[in-house]
Amino acid sequence: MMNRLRWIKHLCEYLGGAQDVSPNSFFMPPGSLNWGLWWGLLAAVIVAFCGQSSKFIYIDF
Amino acid sequence: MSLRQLALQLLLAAAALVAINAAVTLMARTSVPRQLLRHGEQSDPATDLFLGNSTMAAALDERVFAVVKPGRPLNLALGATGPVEHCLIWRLQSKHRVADVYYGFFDSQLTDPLHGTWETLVGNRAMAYYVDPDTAIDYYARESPFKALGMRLTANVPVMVERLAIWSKVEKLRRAIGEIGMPKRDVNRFGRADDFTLLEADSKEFARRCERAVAERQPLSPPIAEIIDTTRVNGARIRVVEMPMPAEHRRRLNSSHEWRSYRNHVIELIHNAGGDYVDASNWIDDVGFADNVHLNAAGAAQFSTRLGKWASQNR
Repeated sequence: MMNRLRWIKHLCEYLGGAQDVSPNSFFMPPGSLNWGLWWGLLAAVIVAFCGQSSKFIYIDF
Repeated sequence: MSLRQLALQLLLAAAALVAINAAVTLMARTSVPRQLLRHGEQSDPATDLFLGNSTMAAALDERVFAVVKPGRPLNLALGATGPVEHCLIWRLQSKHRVADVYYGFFDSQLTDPLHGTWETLVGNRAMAYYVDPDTAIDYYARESPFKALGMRLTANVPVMVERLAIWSKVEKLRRAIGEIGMPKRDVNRFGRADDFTLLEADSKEFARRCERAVAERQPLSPPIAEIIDTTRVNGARIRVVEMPMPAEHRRRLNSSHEWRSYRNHVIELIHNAGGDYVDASNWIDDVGFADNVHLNAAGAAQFSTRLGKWASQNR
C-alpha cells in the first residue's frame, strides 16, 4: 500500500514537472501523442480553476 | 522527438481543449440563468414582474402574491447577481413590458459602483458574457478598451465563461468529503446557511460608504436607472423594494444616521426618476428567515401578502 502511494506521488511529481525521471513501469517517451492530450487537459484545468476569489462559492442555487 | 511529433502533440492538445469546451457547453445548457430566461419566455405576459438578487428570489411567492393582488406575477430575480445582470434580464422581457416592476435591493446596492471582473463574473453572473454581452461590456468596461477586449475574447471560450460548471462539482465533492464524520451543516436552496454571514458588511465601512454616497450625491447605479426609466416609459409602475432583513442586520447596519441619510438620498433619487420606494426592511420577524439574508417559505408568504396588499392600495 505504502509503495503504491509512493509510486502515485512520484507519478504526480513527474507529470507536474517536479521530477525528471518517471516512476518504475510508467513509460511515456517524449514523442508520445499522449503528452498532447495531457497538455490539453492541463490547460483546461488551469483555466477552470483560476480566478476563484469569492469569499465563498455560491453553487447550490 | 521530431518536429512532426511535436506538431501532432500540439494538435492533440488543441483537440482536447475543443472537446472540453464542447463538454462544458453541454453542461451549461441548463444553467440557472438560462432556465430563468426560458421561464420568462414561456410565461404568459405578466402583470407584476420581480427583479433583483436572491433576497427577492426567495421572498416573492407568486401564488401568494396573486391571491392578494389578482394577476400574473412573475418572479425573475436571480441569486448571486448584481444590477447589470438584473438589467440584462429586464432587457429581454419585451413580452412583459407593461408589467409593474418590483426591484428588490439591500444595503447600498442602489448606488454601489459596478464591479464586474474576471474573478467575479462567474456562476450566475457569467450571463454577462452570453446574454447581451454588448450591454454588459458597456456597463462593466465603458472606460477600459483593454478590459472590453478581454471580455469579448472571454465570451467566446465556454470553458472560461462557464468554468464554475466544473468548479461547482469539485466544490460539492470537497464539501461532501469534508462532512464525513461531521455533523451536517444547515443548507437551504441558496447554499450553506452560515456561508451568508460572510456577506455581511463591516458596520463602520458600511457607514462610511453611505456617508460618501450622500456627500457626493451619488446617482443611482446606471443599470438600475435604466430599469426605472424604461419601466416608466412603458407606462408601468416601478417599485424599488428595500428587502426584509433580520433584526441583527438592521441593528448593525440600518440604525445609524449615515444609513438614514443614505436612505433619504436614494428615496429622493427614486422619486425623481419616477419610481416608488417600499421600505419592507422590517416586515418580517427573525423566524421568517432561512439564513441571515433569505426568507424561508413562511417568511416569503408573509412578505408576498404584505407587498401584494401594498401594491393593491398604491396602484
